[in-house]
Amino acid sequence: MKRFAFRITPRDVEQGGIASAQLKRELREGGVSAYDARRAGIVAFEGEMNLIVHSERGGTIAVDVHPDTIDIVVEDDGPGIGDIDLALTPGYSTAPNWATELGFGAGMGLPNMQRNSDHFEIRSHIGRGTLVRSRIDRREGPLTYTAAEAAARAAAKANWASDLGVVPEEKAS
Amino acid sequence: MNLRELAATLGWDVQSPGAEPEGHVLGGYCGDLLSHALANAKPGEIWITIQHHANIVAIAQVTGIAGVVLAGGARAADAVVERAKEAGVALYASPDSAFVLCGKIHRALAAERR
Repeated sequence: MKRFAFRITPRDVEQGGIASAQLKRELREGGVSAYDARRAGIVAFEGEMNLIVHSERGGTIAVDVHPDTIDIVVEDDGPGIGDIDLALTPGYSTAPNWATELGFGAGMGLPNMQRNSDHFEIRSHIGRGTLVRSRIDRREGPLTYTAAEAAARAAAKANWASDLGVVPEEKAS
Repeated sequence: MNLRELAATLGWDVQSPGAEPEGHVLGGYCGDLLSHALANAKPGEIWITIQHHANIVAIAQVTGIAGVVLAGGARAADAVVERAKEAGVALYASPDSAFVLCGKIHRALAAERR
């Protein structure tokens, strides 16, 4: 098992993404597939930005890489999430104006984390903090896409011109 | 068509020389909400955005996209360019609006696939 740990400072938006980009690079160098490393990177990035934008005193990201799974735990000590179901609703956001002006606060952070996890859990108490736990089941080999995604992508490529409304020259009249 | 050829064809200003990947550009993603880019921009695609702060470099790294083109005359500050070079992220600037850029990129890529 290999462990990575990052301490994230609140409001330090300039540093946002540095920890998750470093994590992805180290995972790839350590032999993790591109697909799994991308999923882990997205989970870590959203967790990192949540700590920067929302936490009072920052927090931690701990990543354990096992032979079959990648476990990511993002933790802070406040302010806590009042309604977890609402927070997981795509489009719902409590991000302040300074964050939305930079393109954050789309209300997709927690949904993105959930979507890229095989097991996902949030525990939170107002005034005590939040713990987000993500488990990614590792896929064999250097996959970039799941089989279903690869098939959809191949179909989209085959129909590229017609799908996107461009008439191929030989069919134009 | 790789990113260098696409950038040359469309006359983009190269902000991070030396960071251009050799692989074919597979498509594009356009948008300024970072979580949407993170969720939807795929490896090998070009991201069209007006966001030009440091976080776009991290998003490019995490998603594995081919590069970022800043639309509407936006330009990244020197510190952001330095971070892109260090990270090996191709960064371009264009005076074209995001709409016009999408059209030009689409036409160039579609022409290649005929």
